[in-house]
Amino acid sequence: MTDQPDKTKQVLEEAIRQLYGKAAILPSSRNNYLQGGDGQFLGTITTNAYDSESILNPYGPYGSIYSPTSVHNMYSQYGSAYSALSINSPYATNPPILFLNGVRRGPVTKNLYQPNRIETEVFLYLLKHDLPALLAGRISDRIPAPTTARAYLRAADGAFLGSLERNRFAQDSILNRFGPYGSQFSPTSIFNQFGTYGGQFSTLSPFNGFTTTPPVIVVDGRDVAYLTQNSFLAGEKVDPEELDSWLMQRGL
Amino acid sequence: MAIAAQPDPILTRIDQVLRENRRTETLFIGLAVTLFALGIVTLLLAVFTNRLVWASPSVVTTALLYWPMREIRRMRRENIALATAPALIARLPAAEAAAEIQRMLEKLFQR
Repeated sequence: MTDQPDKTKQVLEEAIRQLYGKAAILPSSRNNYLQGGDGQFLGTITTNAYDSESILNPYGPYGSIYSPTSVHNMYSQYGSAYSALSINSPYATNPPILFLNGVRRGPVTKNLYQPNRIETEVFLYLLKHDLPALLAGRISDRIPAPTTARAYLRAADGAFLGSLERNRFAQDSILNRFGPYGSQFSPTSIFNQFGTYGGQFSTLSPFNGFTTTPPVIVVDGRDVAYLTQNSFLAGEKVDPEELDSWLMQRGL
Repeated sequence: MAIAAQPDPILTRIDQVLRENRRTETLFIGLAVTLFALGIVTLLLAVFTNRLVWASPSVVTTALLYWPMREIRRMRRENIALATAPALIARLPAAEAAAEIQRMLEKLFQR
């Protein structure tokens, strides 16, 4: 019964999508913002995450994972991995454009062939971890690693989920049962079955057998594989139960 | 000539899901009552025939009540959320209604 899509969930998600769609209107005076390739306003970049127009407000029309005008919605045309208008598509022909102080800075895209592009990962990293640098236009080409370990886990929403260091006493290791990334009670742990990044039902969890947005294993700065129990997901994937042997095979 | 207002499609769908949930809820209540009645019958049988071995099926049926009860509780929670959504849509600005429904959804499905 629980394997079937829940109709209550579906209808409420649809209501949220429609309401955010209605709420998404072009504001009059904003200097720092993202604009879709089709001219749709995609949210303002501001330090106030409670601003209803903020791209960082998870309960706003431009920051919610359910909104059709949010780049954080993996199923919207601005966040999908396949849409021509998306920041996440490597084939996007018309990706969103970043404007800072009213000046066009360039397209935010994973498409390597877009001129003057801003790498999506860099944009999202700065958005979440170094907003002043983004607002000041200090956009570098590489994401600083959040750990000294060679391998770590990153959630689909960009959150750092712990290093894959096999030392159980390392503070940021997912194997440290008393650390922020290994404890079953921590909100940033994949082992918290009631958290955003754990359990069988969260779309950001490696233990959800149906998710298309599981965490990614990053090794030496490169995305190497998904950590997931979804055997139907395209690309290299590692079952969480077999992570230890996978790390050993790779000499990590 | 006055044109009758068309019902909002999303509200129509909410009503439809509420009706479907109600049917499923009735089914689970029926199942729970059946299990309970079976348990009582076997227990009475055990008492009146003075053969205590007949009391064991009632233990099993009572234990089986856990699942329908859990489903009924879940459906009640979902129905309350569904019944609240139209009021939020009607009374709040679109962005606020969406945010409130999103919070409700996250609480309901523990995201």
